[in-house]
Amino acid sequence: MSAPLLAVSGLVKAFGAGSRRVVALDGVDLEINAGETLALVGPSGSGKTTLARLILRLIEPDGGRIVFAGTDLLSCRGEALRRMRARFQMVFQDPLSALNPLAAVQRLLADPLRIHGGKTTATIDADVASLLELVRLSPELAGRHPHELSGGQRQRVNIARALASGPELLVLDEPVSALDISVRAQILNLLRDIQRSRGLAYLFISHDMAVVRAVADRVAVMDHGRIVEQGSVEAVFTQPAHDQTRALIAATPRLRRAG
Amino acid sequence: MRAVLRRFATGGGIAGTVLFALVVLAALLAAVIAPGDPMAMAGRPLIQPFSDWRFPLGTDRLGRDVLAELLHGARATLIVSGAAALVTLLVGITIGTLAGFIGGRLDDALMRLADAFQSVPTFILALAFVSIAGPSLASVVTAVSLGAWTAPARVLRAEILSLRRREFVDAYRVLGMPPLQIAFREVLPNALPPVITLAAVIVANAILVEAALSFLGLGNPNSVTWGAMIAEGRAVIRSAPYLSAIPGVAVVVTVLAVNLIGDAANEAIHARRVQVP
Amino acid sequence: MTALLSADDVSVAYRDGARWLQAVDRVSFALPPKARLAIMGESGSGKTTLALAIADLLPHDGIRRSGAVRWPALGGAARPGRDVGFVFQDPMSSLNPVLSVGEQIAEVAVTHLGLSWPAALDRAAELLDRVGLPRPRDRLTSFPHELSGGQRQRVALAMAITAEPKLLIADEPTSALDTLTQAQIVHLLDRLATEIGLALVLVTHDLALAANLAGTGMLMYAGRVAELGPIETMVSAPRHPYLQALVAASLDPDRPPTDRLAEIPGIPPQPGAAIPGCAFEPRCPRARSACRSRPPGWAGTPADGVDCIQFDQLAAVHR
Repeated sequence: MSAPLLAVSGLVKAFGAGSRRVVALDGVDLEINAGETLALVGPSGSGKTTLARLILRLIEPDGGRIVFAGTDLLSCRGEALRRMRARFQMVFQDPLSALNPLAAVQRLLADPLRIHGGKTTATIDADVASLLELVRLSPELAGRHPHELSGGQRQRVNIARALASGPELLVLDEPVSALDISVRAQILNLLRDIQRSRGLAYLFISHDMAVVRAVADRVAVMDHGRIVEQGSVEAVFTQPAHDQTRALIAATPRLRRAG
Repeated sequence: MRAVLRRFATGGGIAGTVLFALVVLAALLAAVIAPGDPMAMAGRPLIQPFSDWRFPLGTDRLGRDVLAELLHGARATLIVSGAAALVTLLVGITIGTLAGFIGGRLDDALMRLADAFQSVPTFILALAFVSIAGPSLASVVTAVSLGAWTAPARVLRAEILSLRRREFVDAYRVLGMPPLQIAFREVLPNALPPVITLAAVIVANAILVEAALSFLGLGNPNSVTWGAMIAEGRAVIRSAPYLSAIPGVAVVVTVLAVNLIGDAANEAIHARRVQVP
Repeated sequence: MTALLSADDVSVAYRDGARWLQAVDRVSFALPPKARLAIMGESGSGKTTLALAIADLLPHDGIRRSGAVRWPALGGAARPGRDVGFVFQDPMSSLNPVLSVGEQIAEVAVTHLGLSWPAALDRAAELLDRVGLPRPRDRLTSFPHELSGGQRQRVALAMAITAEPKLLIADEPTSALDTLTQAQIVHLLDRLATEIGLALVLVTHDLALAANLAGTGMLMYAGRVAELGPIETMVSAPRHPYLQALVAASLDPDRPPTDRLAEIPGIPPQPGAAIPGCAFEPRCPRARSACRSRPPGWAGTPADGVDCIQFDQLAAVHR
């Protein structure tokens, strides 16, 4: 078996000090293979978001290792880290809050191209157009500002921006929980198509088990800063081993009541 | 933007703009209407206003044309207060953005510095500085800015602190954008609206401080200023009160105009923020 | 039975500069006492505006409203702040951050029930116990920021039922919460409504949540009621093409994934867009030319029907 794309081991992170110290992550081991979707589930406060922020190098861990494609991510600094950043990107939960309200779509998508591509203005325009096409947005939206877009269109812009640097891993933090049901399937299908055409790996963070069942290859369940269960989506849903997993599945509302 | 302008166009907003435009026009046309050196003797001393068509606003004790002095004074006032407001805003915005965005020890250090400046009354600070540095355009501008930069710095820091928590800042960090570029190119423009309304207060304050310094003889010695004119008229205030009153009215009108503009801008920007969803 | 609430041709428009944006367009329904209605729809469908109109919580400036909201079982009118309780999506914004939880609830009890302050505090503790907060006496002195999201929503619920209302309106009460907490709050709403004999209006974008909690469903699209009826039949045998598409696009944790999820193409119309025909027509798989030219007619009874031209014609044939 080939080495995983991302390997996290023994990751520890605590916030605060003294009696107010809260352990957010308590020794997390996790692997994501190239091209797969790993769903990270758990209630709020279980450490999902902290884990994502650590992997994205937005915060520093207290201990542990993060290895991305054979490179020790925690030892990357400055220019080396900036170059690595092109390879893992993030799509945020609230598509409006994740976009600078004063920047038009054109500029939002040009930023990563400038930072990672070293492109000239002429090729950037063409690249922005092909990014819009990739996420199935009309090219005339390039001049719009975030508040002039619908929720689904905003999330497509977020996805396009994350894809601009050609990453191998996308961290998707509740990417559809702020969207309407009529748009949710569009975005999930789009993510699946992009994954297949580009061989992307997804770390899909969610508390909605119905969405997880629809998108995941494997599932990792978190509780109190630890991963308490991990397995294929089929195994986790049909034979949940941990109480937390069973509780999450049972708590998910069903359209049709059983029986 | 158009909606903001529409809300700005209220009675106060229009009146302020018109009055301020008149002052600017006076400053621009000073050399046309009253060519030559306004500090030179032009006629008989102490001609009453409206009594001699060559000197519509009369002459002072040294026979200088009051109208010429007033027009050239408008120019000096606008240059000094404009430059002071600009310096104040630049310093305040830079310090506020750095303190709010970078936080930590830098924030602590910058805010304690602001405390130190705010613990001395603004005018005393300006007075002390000009007394030491000597009166000149640069020293008066610096003196006015010294006491004023803390207000925009604090307002901006508070705005940046709340904006910093928004997800789009994390998004830029994930993209690998350098922190200073995130702070000044992406976050700062979002934090500017409250500072824009503050700018009017800063300009009005700069006009008053400049006038007060000039009144005490600590203004820019190379140009006529309204403050110096008021001081000049003090000696003959019983026999020729118009010499102090005319520049005094000019100061009041200009400050009023700037405040009217500031209030209208504040209303217009604030209304945009409380729209029905 | 006399209806608790009856809405007749309720319309609401917001002013946007010189234009009026129609948020709710001639909505009628009746709610019996103790009944439960789920107003469903996506953002911009007008569901929250309708709920605010029912509760008389709309601002007066920049709003144009018509139609009537009546309260037959209450003798015509509801007493403001008393007969209708309201719970919002974000409890942090509906609770006062500088008052303790006990003070906020007691204040309502003093105002509406005429209790003395000590009695009102006792009542507040009782209510906190009722909404399932452990150690309610100790919680009286807690401030909203000291509570978790789920606890805050429980406090908001306690406050909403303090004045002993006849109707509780809950606007996306669980959308900001995680799955486990969401299930607890839904269970709590269910229990409270049964115990107190409350009528319930649940505003939600989540069909499954609505199906679990409500008896009657009302699906809104672009300000109009698309379908109204018993929620069981709405989710098991949807009639309106929009509802059919929503049911097909809904996900189920018990169902193994399909390769492609059923999706609804397009996006909802812009607010204020002039729509001569059916607002759903551009996204509808069964649209015909007639759908574009004239608005659909209501097919069915006032309590059970569909706003779709296909059923309208069907009904016309049977008539």
